[in-house]
Amino acid sequence: MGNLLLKLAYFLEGSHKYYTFKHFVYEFLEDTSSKKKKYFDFLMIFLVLSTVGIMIYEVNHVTLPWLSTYETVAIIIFIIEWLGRFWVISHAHRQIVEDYEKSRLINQTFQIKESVKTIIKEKLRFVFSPMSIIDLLAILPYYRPLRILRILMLFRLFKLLRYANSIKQFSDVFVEKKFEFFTLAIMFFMAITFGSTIIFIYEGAGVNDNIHTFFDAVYWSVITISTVGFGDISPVTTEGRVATIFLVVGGVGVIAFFTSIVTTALSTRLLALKEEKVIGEANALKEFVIICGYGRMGKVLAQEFIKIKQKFIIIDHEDEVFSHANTQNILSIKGDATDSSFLSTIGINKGASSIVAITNDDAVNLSIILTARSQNPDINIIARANNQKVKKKLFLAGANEVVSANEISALVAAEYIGQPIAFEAIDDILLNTEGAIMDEVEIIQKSNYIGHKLENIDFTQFNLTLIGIVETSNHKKFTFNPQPDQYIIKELDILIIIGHKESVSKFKIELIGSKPKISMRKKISNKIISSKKQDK
Amino acid sequence: MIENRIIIYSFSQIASKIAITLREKKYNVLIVEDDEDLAQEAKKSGFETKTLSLMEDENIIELGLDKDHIKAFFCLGNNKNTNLFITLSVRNLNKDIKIISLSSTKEDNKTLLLAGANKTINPYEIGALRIFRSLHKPIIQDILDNILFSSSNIEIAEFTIQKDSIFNGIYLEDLKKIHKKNIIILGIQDKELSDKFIFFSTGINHKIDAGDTIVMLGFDHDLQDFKKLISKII
Repeated sequence: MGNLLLKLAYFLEGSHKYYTFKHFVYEFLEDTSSKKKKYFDFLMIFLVLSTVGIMIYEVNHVTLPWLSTYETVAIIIFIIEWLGRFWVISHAHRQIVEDYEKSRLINQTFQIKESVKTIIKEKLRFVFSPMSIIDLLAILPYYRPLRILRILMLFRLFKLLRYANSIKQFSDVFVEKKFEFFTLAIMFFMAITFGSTIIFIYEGAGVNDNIHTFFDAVYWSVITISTVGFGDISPVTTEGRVATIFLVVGGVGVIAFFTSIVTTALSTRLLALKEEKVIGEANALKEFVIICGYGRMGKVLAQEFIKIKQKFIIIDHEDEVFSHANTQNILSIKGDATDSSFLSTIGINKGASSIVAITNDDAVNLSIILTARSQNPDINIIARANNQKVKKKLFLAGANEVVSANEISALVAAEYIGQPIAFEAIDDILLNTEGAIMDEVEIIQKSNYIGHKLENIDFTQFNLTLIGIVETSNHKKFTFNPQPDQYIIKELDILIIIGHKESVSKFKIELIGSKPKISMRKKISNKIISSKKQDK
Repeated sequence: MIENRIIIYSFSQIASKIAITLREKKYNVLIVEDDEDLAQEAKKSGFETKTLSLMEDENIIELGLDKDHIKAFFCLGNNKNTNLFITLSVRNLNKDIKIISLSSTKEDNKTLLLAGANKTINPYEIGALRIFRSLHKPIIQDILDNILFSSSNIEIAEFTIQKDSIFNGIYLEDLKKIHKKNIIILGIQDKELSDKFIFFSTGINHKIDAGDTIVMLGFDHDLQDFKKLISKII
């Protein structure tokens, strides 16, 4: 028997199919990062709510046959789910394999009983875990003779805890504030004991018609201390009324204490929850930009990114700024961008392609650059220099580009004074407004235009002006206004053009799809040649 | 009368940078600053400086800002309200002077333009857009830098057509035929139509009249040649 188990364990350990299938099930049930679990959770939430709905319906209606079939199916799914969890919670066969190899290593005879014991222990730990008990209790009321346990159907609602992460977070609050709740419970217990004892002593012995047992007294004090006060039991003696006064006053205190504990715990949890959500979202992003500092510059940058649907995340440590970004529905997180562990949780070496350090403090910007560079040697870093003199240092720290707003503004101002109209023309392009844009169009591999002369592209037809060509194959050399009848288009050339947005996108589509047209001029010149030949 | 005179109000960080850049471009810069320390700093940097508050109209008149010979007035104080006040005062005294004011938000831009500024400079916006372009279109950024700000030989230039120029009355398309040099015509600003700039690439074949301004890109020497051609009289 032992031998058989051992063989089976080794067989499973070696089976690829077994592992893939187990992992597949694991993804559905336990892998919080998996999309499959999300869909599965939705299904389960629906099943839970619908079965509870059915039970409520059955209270004063005749059971419809299809409803009971539906419930049966749901219960079967619940059972399968529980069994699945029971299965994936640990690798039983591996325990046997490991124990066997260990015993061989130290030259001892292998005791399969020991391994089985550990396996059973592990599985039992799962069976008696709170969530598993809830699962089982949710299945139980289906068994008709146990209809008395119908109250347990409510446990199905607790099952929801499994599927909603945020609810689980709230239940964690109680664990977190254990000490406070414990103190509160003692206070509550003392007040209740005190109140119920007094009322029972003075009014229990037939004085008050409503108080017969000690339980009545406890019931009365709980109702009183909670300030609910149904009034079904009320004190009739002076002593009883004095006790009531103390209980009510004490009750207000207890409730205030309770409320404050719960609210503070929940609000801190809420922040943590939000942060977790933002980090989760950021980690799922690809090619996103981290903006450190959400000041006046950060706001403009964020607006531009939104326009082109570039993904980004804002980091700022000031509450005010942070909440502004929040109200704008921008992915933002409060934190210190100079903290390397913080940057790595956001995903500086995962999905981030660039980081922008634009706080109004050059020392902070420098620190961000160094931290980011140490975390990711390849990331593109752009920094703001508030003081031109620190530009060099920022480059030294590892920035790929340093922008001094004052310096550029000065250049822009000088340009405007010198050539106002030329400036206005380029202003449209600079400020990214609706008018004309300057854009780059790449000659993709296998493009039909490769090897042809530039004159084969008719820019005027698209209402575009060609400014120049960047030759990727030639060290990114920029040729200004290349001669159309001489320049030969190469693979990966980048055409720099000016025109309206629509014209540019039309042009891009054309360039990707079509064959080069031989221009009219060429056709005419061909004709001329042939007619000359005829003349001869 | 001093040629190419530019008056700059304030010697804030950005103002000093603008003053230095303009001086490099051979403009005659006068700094007006009401803060003693900053005025001293401006003097130390070698600028002609006056310690004056521009909140009084008399002081603005004393500077000659009500006369037309001043090329431009920069209002670059750190206080938004002072900038607004001074912009409005100067515009009130001189309808034609070019006023450039410092703003820090889009809303400020609007109020300053309303107060009479011809142009606002928002360093935050300019800086942010630069970062944006660096990330979004680095190649375009490089080329624009080359054309606009660096001392490379490709320049952007504008030429206003005079009444007796040989270009008066011809079409933009023909302009290209007349001049086949290595020059790209970006567009034209028509004085009659509006102040809006019309890009050549819109495809409208515009008739050039006196007073229109043509904007073009090209190598320095080609642009110089073109300038000679354009000032030729019929």
